Amino acid sequence: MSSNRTHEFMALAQSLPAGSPPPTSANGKKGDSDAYQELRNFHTTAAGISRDIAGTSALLSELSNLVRQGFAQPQDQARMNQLVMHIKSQIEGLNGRLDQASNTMQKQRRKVGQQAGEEAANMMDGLKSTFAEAASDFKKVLQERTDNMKEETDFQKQVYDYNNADDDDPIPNMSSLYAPPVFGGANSNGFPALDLTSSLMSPGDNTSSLPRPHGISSSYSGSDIRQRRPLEYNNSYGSQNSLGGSLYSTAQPPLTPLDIQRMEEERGLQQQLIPDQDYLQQRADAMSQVESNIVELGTIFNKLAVMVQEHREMVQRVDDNVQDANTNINMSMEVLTDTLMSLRTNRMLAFRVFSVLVLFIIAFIIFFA
Amino acid sequence: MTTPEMSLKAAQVKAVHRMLAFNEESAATYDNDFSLPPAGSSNNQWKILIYDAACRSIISPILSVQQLRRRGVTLHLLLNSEREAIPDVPAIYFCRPTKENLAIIAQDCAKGLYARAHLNFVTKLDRELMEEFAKLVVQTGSLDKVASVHDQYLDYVCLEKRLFSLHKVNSYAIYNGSGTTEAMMEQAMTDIAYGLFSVVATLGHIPIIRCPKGGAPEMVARKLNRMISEHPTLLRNKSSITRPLVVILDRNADLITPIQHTSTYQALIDDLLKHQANRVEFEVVQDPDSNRPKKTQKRFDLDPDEDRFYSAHKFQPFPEAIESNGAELQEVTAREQEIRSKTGGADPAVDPLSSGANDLANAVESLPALLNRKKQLEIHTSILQAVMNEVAARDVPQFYELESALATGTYKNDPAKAKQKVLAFVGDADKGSVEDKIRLIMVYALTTAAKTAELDEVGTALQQACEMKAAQDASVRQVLSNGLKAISYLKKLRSMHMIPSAADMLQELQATPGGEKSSSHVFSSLMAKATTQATDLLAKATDKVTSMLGKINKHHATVVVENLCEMKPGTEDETYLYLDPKVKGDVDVIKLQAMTRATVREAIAFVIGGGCYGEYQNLQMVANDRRQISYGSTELLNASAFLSQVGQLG
Repeated sequence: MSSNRTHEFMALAQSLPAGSPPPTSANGKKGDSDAYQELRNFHTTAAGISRDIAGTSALLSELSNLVRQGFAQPQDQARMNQLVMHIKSQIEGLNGRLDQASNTMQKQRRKVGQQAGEEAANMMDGLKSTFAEAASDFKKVLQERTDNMKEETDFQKQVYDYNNADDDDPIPNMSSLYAPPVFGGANSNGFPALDLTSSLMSPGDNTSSLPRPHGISSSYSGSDIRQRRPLEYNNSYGSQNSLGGSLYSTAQPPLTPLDIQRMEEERGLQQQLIPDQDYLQQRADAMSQVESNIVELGTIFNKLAVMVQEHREMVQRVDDNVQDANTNINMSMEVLTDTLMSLRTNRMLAFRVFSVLVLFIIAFIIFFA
Repeated sequence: MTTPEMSLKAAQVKAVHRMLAFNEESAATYDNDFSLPPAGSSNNQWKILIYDAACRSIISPILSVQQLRRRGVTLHLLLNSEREAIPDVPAIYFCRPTKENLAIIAQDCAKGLYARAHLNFVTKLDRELMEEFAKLVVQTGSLDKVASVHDQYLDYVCLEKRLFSLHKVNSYAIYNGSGTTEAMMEQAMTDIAYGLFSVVATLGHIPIIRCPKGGAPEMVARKLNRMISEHPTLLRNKSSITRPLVVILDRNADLITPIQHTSTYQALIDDLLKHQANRVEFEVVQDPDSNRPKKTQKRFDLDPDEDRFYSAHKFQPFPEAIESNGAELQEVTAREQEIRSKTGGADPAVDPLSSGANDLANAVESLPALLNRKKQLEIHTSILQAVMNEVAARDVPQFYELESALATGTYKNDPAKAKQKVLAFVGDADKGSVEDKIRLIMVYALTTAAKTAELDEVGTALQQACEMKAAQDASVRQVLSNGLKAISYLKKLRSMHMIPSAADMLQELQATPGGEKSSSHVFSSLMAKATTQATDLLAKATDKVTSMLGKINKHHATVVVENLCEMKPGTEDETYLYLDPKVKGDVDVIKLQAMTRATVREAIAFVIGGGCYGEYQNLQMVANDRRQISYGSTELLNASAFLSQVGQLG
């Protein structure tokens, strides 16, 4: 607990006779003041960036609260998507501004005094590390969200599996029909993908903005069900796009009667679940959005990881550099004096050293003259 | 509301954080660094911190550079260094309120180096100095640069959660030296009182002060009492049910503890290696078998609170510390191997749907933490190694055993045997360094009623034994002469009866054998007589056992604090002064004893004249879940530093 003596001091100061105004001190040289003006601008930009980071963090905490609630309502889903897009754009913007500010700071640093430059550099470091934290928090939240959705679809699968338990199930992943598959076969569940949301995968494809009643696009499903992709855990976000693309490009084999029969079965089951399509549709939307965001942010994260790594080892003590400098200076003094002593006492050594030097100079001149 | 369990260090950190937030009343407190708003935003502006040397030693144990950066401090500079202008950034000054510092600050404001200056003085700024400073500032017309003036009352260095020091150099020599005038003593005592006031103010509760009658402790206690009662805001604040107990002791009441050899890990580090403000330095010889063994200086920063291994084992006897280190290191290495093998031969096709990959991710994430822990343990291994080398070279355990035997009165009835043993140790040229022998002699002098003649005999034996070494090595000679002066000082003290006689001390130490709650006064004397025989035998047996187990007996300070906390009748509780800042005048303890008194939850033991880690560790023996004990002193010394101060007086 401290005691505030400001009022006492101010009262005291007021009672004293006024003195002369301060001389125009540090603004003597014009060049200097320009540099300081730039520094001032830099401070303002940095303050702006910091405010925006704070804003992003606030949004991020809202998003994480929503995610943590678990199975979410549709309106929450919409809000979450909105937040995700918003945060993503903010993060990208901030990244750009940080880069820019950093470059300006490097240029300014040489013009202003050493301490001012150090101060600016430390400020930059602080901003970058807070930004890195915010971005990695964002990544964690997105991951959590993906996990949640995966759990939900697991749960759904179990529920519907139970319902269809008595079906002869040569196709164990029938219930995957209800899964919100997005990219080809390798979505996070590894379920064979049925295209409920084609719009996201092929930008040029405008066949279905609305899902078709059976949700099956012509030759696509058969091959998938037959293929029954191995279940892969989805930790390669970057490969999503490519997989989806490749799936579309492979040629589809002709449908056998067996396939047609299966398709009919699916269709039948499908129709029971049309009312839920919308819900699943939304979820699929969300899922795809999440994954696409993660892809795009991948590059940013890589950069941040590098940055964070650089600043990781900043555990220092406040009085470190003084002692370090002291020891260094002492040690170097010792080494220098030792060399000097040995040089002084040992004429041969000195002679040899000088002769080598002279040789080198001569060689240098000869070869480069 | 600060809970009674908030440690001193946490309270100090909180106060510093508030200072860094410009002392705003509305400043929210953040529990940890991660909930802070990013630096640069409106709640956490960027600032520059300027301190003087004393305040730097206050800040450096509690805040790292990283933490300062999170709080928005972009640059930290020394007040006396060359500083350049950094316009439109506010500056926080944190320094002692001396004339020189104020002159420098006034100059800074005149030059317009920074945007605004927030002044924080570590202790009270005197009125005259404030007037002078105001004059300077007004003359140069830079009054608008001064944003605020605060007295922070943080004038102590907090090394651990419950350990603090006032960093008063050479305190023992000054307070007990003959060259100290009345005025100097008065000033020194006022400084100590201010330091204690800072401690109390940071904790935020009004304490009860207890001290022995007479001498420095009473002076300091009365000053402290007056300061607290006169300070307007402290008294107005919460009146808590549990009030901390401040016990002020004098070093002269127990000279044995700082000199004695120790056996616990932290105390040994402080004793044998270079240890200053949680930083340990020692030499390591690499390749001892090669022609030119390279010696490297190793330096480590120890964090007694955050370091898991250290905080768990710092009070343990040395052999146990070594064992636990070995065990933990094995465990950590085993777990590391496990993880590495898992990641190496991971089988992707096993069960990807389930948590297989999650496990993998978790394992990989925990690997850095595990590696960190391993690194910490390895640091401790090398420190333990260095201590071990010293211990082996100087035969410390033997000295320790003999000294504790002397201190616990094993030789009470057999002074001749004691002297014989001491002579054997002293005469042996291989055992221990000169200092070790001097310490042994001093303990011998303090614990037994050895006559002056006997002491002289031992002294000459020492000189003879060290002749060879002294002739070669000037530093050995220095230490030897210093030690002899110290011994003569002790003799002087004894003759003046300034220190409690050996008999009293032994009485105390024996009165409370470890762990036993003394309710013996309840038993009738009959029972006592009957059991005396049995207990004697039992005591002898337990002594053997405990000495084998490496148990440590209680020192004087520990005994006093325990008696006061538990309010045992017939002990210091009755003889010590009782000062309560809320009450005018002294309080009569006898009357108080009739009423029920609140249990003591928190005690602060303060020693005037130099404290040591051994005492700190010993005090923690009477601390438990319901009672926290903090320890502080005018300065923290190890045995050699204390010896040199005593030598100055001899």
